[in-house]
Amino acid sequence: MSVFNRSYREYKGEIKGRFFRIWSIATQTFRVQFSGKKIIFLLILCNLPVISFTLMLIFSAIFFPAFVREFFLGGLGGVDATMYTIINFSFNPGLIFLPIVFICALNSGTIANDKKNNSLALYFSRPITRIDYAIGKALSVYMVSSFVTFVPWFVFLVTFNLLEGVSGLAIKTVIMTYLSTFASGFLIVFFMGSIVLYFSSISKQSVLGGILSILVLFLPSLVASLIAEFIEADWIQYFSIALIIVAAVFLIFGSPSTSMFGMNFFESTLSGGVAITLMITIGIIFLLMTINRLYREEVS
Amino acid sequence: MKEYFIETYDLNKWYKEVMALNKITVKIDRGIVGLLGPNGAGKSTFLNIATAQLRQSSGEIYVEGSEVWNNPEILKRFGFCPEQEILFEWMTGRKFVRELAQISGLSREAANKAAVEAIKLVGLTEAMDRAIKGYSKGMRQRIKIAQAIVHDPEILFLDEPLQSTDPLVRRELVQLIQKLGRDFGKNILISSHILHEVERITNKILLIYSGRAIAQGSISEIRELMDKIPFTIRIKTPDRKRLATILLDYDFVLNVAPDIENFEYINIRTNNSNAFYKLIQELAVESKVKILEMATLDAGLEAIFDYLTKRK
Repeated sequence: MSVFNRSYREYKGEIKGRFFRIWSIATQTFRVQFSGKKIIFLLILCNLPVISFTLMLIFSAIFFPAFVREFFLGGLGGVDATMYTIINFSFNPGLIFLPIVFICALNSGTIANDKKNNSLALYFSRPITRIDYAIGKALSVYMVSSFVTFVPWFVFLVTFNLLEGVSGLAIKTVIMTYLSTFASGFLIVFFMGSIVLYFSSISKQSVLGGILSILVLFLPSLVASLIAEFIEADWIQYFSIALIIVAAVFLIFGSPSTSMFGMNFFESTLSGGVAITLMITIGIIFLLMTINRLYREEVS
Repeated sequence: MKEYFIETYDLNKWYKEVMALNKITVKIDRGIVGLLGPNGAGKSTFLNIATAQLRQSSGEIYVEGSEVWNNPEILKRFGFCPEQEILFEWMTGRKFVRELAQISGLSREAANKAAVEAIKLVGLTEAMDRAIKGYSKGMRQRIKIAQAIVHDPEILFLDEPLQSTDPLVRRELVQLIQKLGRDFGKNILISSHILHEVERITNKILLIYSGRAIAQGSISEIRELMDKIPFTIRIKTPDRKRLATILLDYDFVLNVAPDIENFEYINIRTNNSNAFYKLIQELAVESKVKILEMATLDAGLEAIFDYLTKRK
């Protein structure tokens, strides 16, 4: 009996380009990273502030009388101020550990698992460069991380707009708010994701990569708070991830009036420009370090 | 078209202080070529450098006249079956092959179709929708070959592809590799540490030992060489003294000595295996020497490698 009694067929079809191959790596990795059952629980936990705000909006629309609803929606301020507030709630110094832990925990295995499973050989014998591999993996990290940033934020924005309605004059503000939300989300995701990606590439152990990236994201804030006990200077605040995110988002949203129910929330005293530059520079440096590391990687 | 599909010049590879490849300069003919060497000889390192997994420490390597490192254009033409056992364990066989086909540049639809065909070709159709973690070693070997051929590459690098397969599958894989090489004109470099395994696939071989290319040519030449190498035969017989006395009269018997571990055996060293086996048969029939057991101790590849290395 012959097992392989079939003939080999030559492939005459099209071979897609570089972007397709990078995208294939990204989507394949994304599906793997997002396949665990614990992810949903973590996701809900990290998005609690957004979920709470969105549910409040929906409940007020369904169950509360019109004047309560108007008071609530009006009290939140304009769509831009509301969105800005939500972002700051999610990333304030007290809650920032949730998205950080989520981003680090989910993405720390991105490259580490390939190293652990010796899967690098399967990738690197394909027609891709190590840069392509790094970009594919980075895209996957950014996609996963977007689930604690602009994906839930967009859900909130859409809910807000549907309930409040958009008048002619507000369209520009609404569009700008969507763009600012995306920009803020991507900036955070790029900054944190690139750091996690690098630490994922340094070891076969994803846990180690996760712990190191959490430490790198938290330690500067801790050191800054210790230094602040002895030295009084504004620049020390740039060591705090939460504060530079606030400053960057504040600038991206065009320094909105942050008065909610008469209270002034989250007005940043740091320079948004410096914060954005810092985040982009650090993100690029870690991405380049990852690429450099992959070029030095030896398949065992 | 060049006569050779792989050319290397003074190819070296160090892993820290360990030298895995030592100044390898070879030109590998088109067709199916066996890369033969014992475990740890440097076969996988050679294949990994040829497929851009690793970068050489020094020297040059060209596949189809092009450098391979960081060169996706040449990698498009490659198919690689790595030695490692662990794959994307959570994936089904079909998904595994399809995903890798997509990374090779096949559209999703084409990748799916090609994956099914490649899996069918290696005889895994029934198991293709099962997770790889449930696959046996032989099945893993076959799914690795499927992913190597799914995008119809011109050049195939197969690292120990017959390892862990049962005789039936082994025979069929040999036929498949031969078909790919002979009927479809693929250039195939196949590594193995078992001579007869490679012998069934091709007559052209490159011998690697301790990181050095020590011989290149046809298997028949190696076989001839094997016959000339002194090797030891272990015989269990109650007529040890008589047999030893008779054997020592022949020129091709170099030495006869009792086995140190078990005195029921004697070890005979000879430099002509054919003549020796003929003589033993005659002695058993004509002189009534009782031969209870007979085994060759060192006629394997290791002996050839040792011999060639010393001769060099």
